[in-house]
Amino acid sequence: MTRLGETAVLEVEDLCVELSIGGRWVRALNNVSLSVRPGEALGLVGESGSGKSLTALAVAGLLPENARVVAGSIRLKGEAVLGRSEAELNRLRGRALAFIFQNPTSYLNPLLTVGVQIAEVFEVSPELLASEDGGRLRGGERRKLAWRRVVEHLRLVHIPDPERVARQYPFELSGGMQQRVVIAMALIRRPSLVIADEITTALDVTVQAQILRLLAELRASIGMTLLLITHDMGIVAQLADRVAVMYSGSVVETSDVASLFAAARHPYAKALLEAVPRIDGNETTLRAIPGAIPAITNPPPGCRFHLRCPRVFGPCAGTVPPAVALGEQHSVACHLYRDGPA
Amino acid sequence: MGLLGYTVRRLAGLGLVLLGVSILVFVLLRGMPGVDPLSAYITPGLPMSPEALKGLRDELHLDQPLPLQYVYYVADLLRGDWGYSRTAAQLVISALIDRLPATVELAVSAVLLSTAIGVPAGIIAALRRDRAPDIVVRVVSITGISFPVFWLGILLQLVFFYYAGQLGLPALPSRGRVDDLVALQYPLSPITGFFLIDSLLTGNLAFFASALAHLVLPAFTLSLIGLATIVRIMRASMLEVLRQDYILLARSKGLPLRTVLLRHALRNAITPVLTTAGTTLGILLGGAVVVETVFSWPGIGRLAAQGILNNDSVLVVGFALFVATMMVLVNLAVDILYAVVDPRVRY
Repeated sequence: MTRLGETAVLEVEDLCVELSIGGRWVRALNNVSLSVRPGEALGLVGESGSGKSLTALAVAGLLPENARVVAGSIRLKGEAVLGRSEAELNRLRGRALAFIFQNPTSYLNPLLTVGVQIAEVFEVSPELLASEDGGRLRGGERRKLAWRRVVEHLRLVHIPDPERVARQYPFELSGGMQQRVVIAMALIRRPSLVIADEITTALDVTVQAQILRLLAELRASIGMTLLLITHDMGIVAQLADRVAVMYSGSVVETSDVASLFAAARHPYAKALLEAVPRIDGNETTLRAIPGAIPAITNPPPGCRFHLRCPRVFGPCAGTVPPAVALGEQHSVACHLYRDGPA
Repeated sequence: MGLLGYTVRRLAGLGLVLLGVSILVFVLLRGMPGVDPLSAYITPGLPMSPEALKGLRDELHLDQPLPLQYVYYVADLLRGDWGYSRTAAQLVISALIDRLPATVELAVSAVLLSTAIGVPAGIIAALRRDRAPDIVVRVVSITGISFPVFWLGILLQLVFFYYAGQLGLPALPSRGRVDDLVALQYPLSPITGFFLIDSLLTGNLAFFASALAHLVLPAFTLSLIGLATIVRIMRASMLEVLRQDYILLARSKGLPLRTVLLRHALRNAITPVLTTAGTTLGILLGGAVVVETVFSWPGIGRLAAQGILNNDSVLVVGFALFVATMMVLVNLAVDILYAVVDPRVRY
């Protein structure tokens, strides 16, 4: 998907991951491919259990013990992630990546002050603390500068009274404030890629809106590259440039946001869009997709969506549909489009 | 500021606990049906004149109703009059205070030892879960918890004192706090009553070496009481913490494993161990009765054992009150430490 002359920040190709469930290895990700270009925001959308978060963890080399990569490649800023030692991974993570997770309360260490947890990143990337003229700083000056940077970044995410908040413990802050802290923690490292995993799910609606506005503002002001993981099409519409729809461990459609909303091709993507309640609609009932996402321990053969698909036909139960390019920006994995745009 | 208020609140609770303990102890001493409370204060086989007996009854207010007796009793306790011990041939309170440093020295060494071994062992077991190191640690700790500690003490004496001596190897002393000859040659001027500290403060290295050697076997034996529990709790707690989301976020920052473990995981995982170590210390401060006896350690545990064998109930009851006070104080210390480690506790 990368255009000529432009290196993708993140390039995932044919990634296959297995999970150990009840002593058996089962496939959780099937040939997942996606790329994120500098400055863009890619929305990774799908239901719970579709493999969005697993993809994100694999990208950072942070898969849990019961997961393993069996095939594919992941490149961060052109460097391979797979097959690296823990120490090399740490360096790569520290330089290239930052996570913002779902539930800020559980992702902040309860026993360390906010400031300490943010300033920690300078230990991994001391170059962030070079003095203005590029010279080396001594211990006391470094600490002062580190603290100044922490406070600056808390201010950047609109935390009131940042000097005080930096000295507070996470439990003294509200959920929205905690999420702002996590965002500041991500930004202070100037990461090449920010992975935001369901970042508003644990927050109440008004706070959600504030956090989304903040992210949009930060994208515009500091040109942050974003991998936005969500099940919420509204958030995608608001923040993403392109979108990849995942279903049961596979990417079923990749497109720019406008085309997807205007004309989604994959039956699952269409159904997902139709399931979004509309404020201007006349419908009185929510549209839902019949059935449930299949258990990965016992997936159906062929296309994993075919049992729930309204347009199922001959080949669907037999073979896994390959991704077909429908345009420069658009690809879909569905038998309906095997012979090009339908 | 939060910490100070918290401490004051905890201190208030402490008073209540001691009140309860004093009532319990008083009932044991005076209120047991069918037992003449006076018998506790009389040396068996030593006849007393009726006048002397009457005098003793009056002094103890035994003719007053029980609630009033209790008030007198508590007043005496607060004045430091805990009665006279036949066994120690001195006042109960002085007998306990004289022997306290020996017990504290032993108990603190034992708890430090079990923490120093138990915490790293628990961490290693958690990190190498279900692999060889974990299995070794688990087998050893379950074995340790299954043996009676005094028996292990005797076994250690046999190996490191008796057999080592027989084979002409350097043997570890098996009884007492210090070698009598060393104590005669290099007398120690007491400052705190703790041999190790006093000998270091006065530069008396010969005394220090002897005291340290005497401490090894009983402290190690006693450390086994807490060790198995500390290892298991540390392991379980570490496993739990390593699953937490903030560990994942810390790792995602690219922090080296060492930093993630020491700064993020250990601090969170250590709190249950603090409680265990504290409780163990509380128990040992008053209750190393058997091990102190096995090693002839001149502490309050051995004194209590002698008191029990002597039917010296004034001493035994005083001992119980003392142990309860120790336990409460140690618990207070643990609670404060808890609040230092975890800011959420202060509120």
